[in-house]
Amino acid sequence: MRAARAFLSRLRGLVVKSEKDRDLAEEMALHLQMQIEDNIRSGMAPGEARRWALLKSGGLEPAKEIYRDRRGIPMVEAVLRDLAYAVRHVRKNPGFAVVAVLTLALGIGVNTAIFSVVNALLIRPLPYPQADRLVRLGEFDKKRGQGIQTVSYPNFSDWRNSSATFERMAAWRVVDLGVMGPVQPEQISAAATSPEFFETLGVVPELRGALLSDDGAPFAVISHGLFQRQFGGDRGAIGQSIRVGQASFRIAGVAPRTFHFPPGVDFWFQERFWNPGSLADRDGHNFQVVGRLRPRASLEQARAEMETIAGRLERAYPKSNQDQGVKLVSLHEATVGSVRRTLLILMGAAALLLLIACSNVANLLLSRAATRRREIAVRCSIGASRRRVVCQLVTEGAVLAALGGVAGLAAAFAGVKALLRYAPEGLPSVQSLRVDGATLVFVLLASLLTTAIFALAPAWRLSRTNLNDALGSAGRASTDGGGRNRVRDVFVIAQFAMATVLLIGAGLLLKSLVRLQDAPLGFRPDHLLTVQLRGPYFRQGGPGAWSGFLREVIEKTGKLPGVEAAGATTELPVEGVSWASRFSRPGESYPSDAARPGADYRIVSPSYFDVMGIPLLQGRVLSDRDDKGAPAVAVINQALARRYFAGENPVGKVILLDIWGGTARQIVGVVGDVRQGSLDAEPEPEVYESLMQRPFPATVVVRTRTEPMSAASAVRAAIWAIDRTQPVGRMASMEEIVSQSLGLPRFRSMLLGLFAGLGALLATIGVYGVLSYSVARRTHELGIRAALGAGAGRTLRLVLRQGIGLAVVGVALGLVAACAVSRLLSSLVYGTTVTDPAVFGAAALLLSMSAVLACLVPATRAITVDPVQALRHE
Amino acid sequence: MADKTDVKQGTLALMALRTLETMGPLHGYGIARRIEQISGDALSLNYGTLYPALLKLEQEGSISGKWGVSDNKRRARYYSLTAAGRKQLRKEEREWEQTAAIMARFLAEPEQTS
Repeated sequence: MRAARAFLSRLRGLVVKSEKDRDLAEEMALHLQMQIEDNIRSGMAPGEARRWALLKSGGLEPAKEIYRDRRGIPMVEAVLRDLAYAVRHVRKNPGFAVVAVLTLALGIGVNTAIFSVVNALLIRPLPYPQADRLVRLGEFDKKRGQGIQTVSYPNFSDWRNSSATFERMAAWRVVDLGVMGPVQPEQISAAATSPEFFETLGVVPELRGALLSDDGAPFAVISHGLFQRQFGGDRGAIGQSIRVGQASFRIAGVAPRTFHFPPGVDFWFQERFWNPGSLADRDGHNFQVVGRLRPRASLEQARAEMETIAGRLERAYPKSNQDQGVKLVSLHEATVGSVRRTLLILMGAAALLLLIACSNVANLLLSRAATRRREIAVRCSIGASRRRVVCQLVTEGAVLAALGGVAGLAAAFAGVKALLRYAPEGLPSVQSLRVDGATLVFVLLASLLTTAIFALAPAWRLSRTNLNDALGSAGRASTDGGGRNRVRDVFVIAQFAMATVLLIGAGLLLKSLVRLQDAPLGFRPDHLLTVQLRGPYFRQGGPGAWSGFLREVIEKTGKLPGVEAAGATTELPVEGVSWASRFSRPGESYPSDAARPGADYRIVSPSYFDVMGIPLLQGRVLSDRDDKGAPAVAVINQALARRYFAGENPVGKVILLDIWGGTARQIVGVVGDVRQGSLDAEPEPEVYESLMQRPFPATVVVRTRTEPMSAASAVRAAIWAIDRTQPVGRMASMEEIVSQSLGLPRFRSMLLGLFAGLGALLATIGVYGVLSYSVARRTHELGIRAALGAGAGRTLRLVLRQGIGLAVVGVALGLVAACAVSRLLSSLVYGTTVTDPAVFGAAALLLSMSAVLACLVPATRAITVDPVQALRHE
Repeated sequence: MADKTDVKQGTLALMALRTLETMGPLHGYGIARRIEQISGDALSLNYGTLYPALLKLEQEGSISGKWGVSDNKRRARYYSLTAAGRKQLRKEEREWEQTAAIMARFLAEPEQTS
């Protein structure tokens, strides 16, 4: 209590000073006066009395000093004094301050922006209660060893019922369908789930009402978005029915606004209301599974237990489950695992950029420090301790860092906004990106760290200033001793090394991006409009009616002005969604179904190949005559022909497709390979069937003569002219879809490219600054050299060698470092290697060239030194 | 003056409080004189010891300083004991007596012969 009171009083003492000082002086003067008078009274002569009184006082000024220290808080006062001095210093040198602050702001801003992404995606938990207990489960082909795969419903049921480590488990699959909302027909994505889907995630749909009583009638939960769009948020909608395709669901609840799982889904219902058959289909691997671990169960335990269960299923159902293992990863990992590497690499690159920025500012400070040696020497000679000098210099650094931090935070806000705008669609939970408390702490730490890096070096150097030397010659030093530049040289070398690493990283990613963009798609993406149509379930009259409807849509839109032709497919290329089917040739026998070869599978309209520009290589494409009544036919791609019909003509041969129960198809033609999955994946074997023989929801593709989106409204009008109730889904140009599939690669290569460019720029500025300064300091020496007959060429070489030498050493070190770290990129590069000599060479050349350019300016200044001027300067 | 000792840490505050209690409000010089007199001129207080100590007591709220007029009509800063100061004095007296008693016992103990 007393201590607190004293502390408060001292805090006050920091503020009111001059008045208190006068008071103390008066008090002490009175004290002295009284002492003198007492001394006189005791018989001393006035002069003697005064001398004794002064002696006894112990010195007035030191007393005041001690008193002041007690009045305020000395350490704080020292810091405040340093701060005031630093601020004055900054204001007196605005150019220097602006450059330093901008450089730091750049480094800190970039790091903060990237950190906020890392924080949102990698650090913050998923938005579910006890999200760390959520685990994704999938089947796993032990032979092919691929990643997590979809699960058949019976396998899921067996997992759920046998597991002791999981508290709950739920399965879902996403289906696209049309909803007849009260406002308009709408095409949406829905999740067909197992029971306990929401319970497993720990999410309670809002507004559940009294509809939990399960009387066997289909019910569904709708998304907050759909609730707003179709019902205007009216609670009266709860309990009402909504038509989905030909089924009807009672709305049992609304999901919370922040709930987006699985992403993009607006409608949740249970699979048993939709396709009860799939509940018993052990061959239909269509479901994704998530489980919630019991409180004290570990992922390891769960993995061991699930492997035992999967083994048991393998033995019980060899036909469907042979070699089917099980794979578990945390839901967090499954959600963000794909972008972790990208983000960590970007974070590392941002950190390198910050280091480059720091060393630039450190060099600035060092250069300034040299000119301030005299000032520091004066301070030291009148009694400042080395600690005080270092404190003062570090305070100056901290002021710069604080300004840089504030400016950096502003830059980060802008950066986050830009990141949100340009973030690729594949970036999960990017919606939650924001500058939050953790980000602020990060800025603070980054600023502190930068201060430590760039302010300590100069401070340490300066505090070791030799007083005699400094006072004798500082500011007019005739030549800079070679050793004095070493710290600065090291900084320049380090900058170039880091910039080299950044440039090489960016170069590798950019080259991969170019390779990806040049990857042969197998079709012509230009002038293609795509229109999603879902829902044969919508049509009275069943699949046959849908087939007729689709044929009419293709016909009508194909005849629209500005349109060349139209077709349709179940899934577009490049988007990475493909159905797959195992197949075999008649007479072949395999030990089990699972051992049979697999192929991608699409159902397309006969016109599809022509519209997409997929070349026909052999035989014929599908035709309008291949309809319901005609023999079942198929078209295969080149990859399948090459792999399974090597040395044969596949046309006319028969294959058995598992997908519709082992039906036989006659191959009528071979078409070119198309990149159906991601652009970096080589085309897989593929089988095409006709939509006329097997009607299915499809995406219409329209080849236009003009910009594809300009035809969008005409196409929609044409579709609605046929049936006003048909929901029309996403309309997008094929080029846009291709471009989106490159979102993540583009995002990371652009960002890394930006960082590398900035890093190279800063490094170039760095070597320029150091060399300019050195030339300025050596004016005298250069003058002597010129006077003694050194030619321009010689001087030029002398100066250039200094700067370029540093850059070259840095670049060389950078090349070595890049060899070591570029392996981190190995999973991200495409069509090149992580030690691509062209990229390494280009980066080295680019940096060396910019170093030469940066050095030429001060070098030309050096050869124009006028010896007379330079020597008179002395 | 060489024979005069400086004040032991921590004791000055107690002495100053005690002085103010017995003498009533007093200026800095008065406090110093009184302490020196009581000590039989064994103590010598310089300004650097006295005024910071007074300031500390004031900051802690044990004494309060006010400008007043001295006997010979000069403006002087008078210090007086506050209620909190009186309590503090009692407490420190007790502590001091305890310490003194303990020290006394230690010093009284005959030297052990080994």
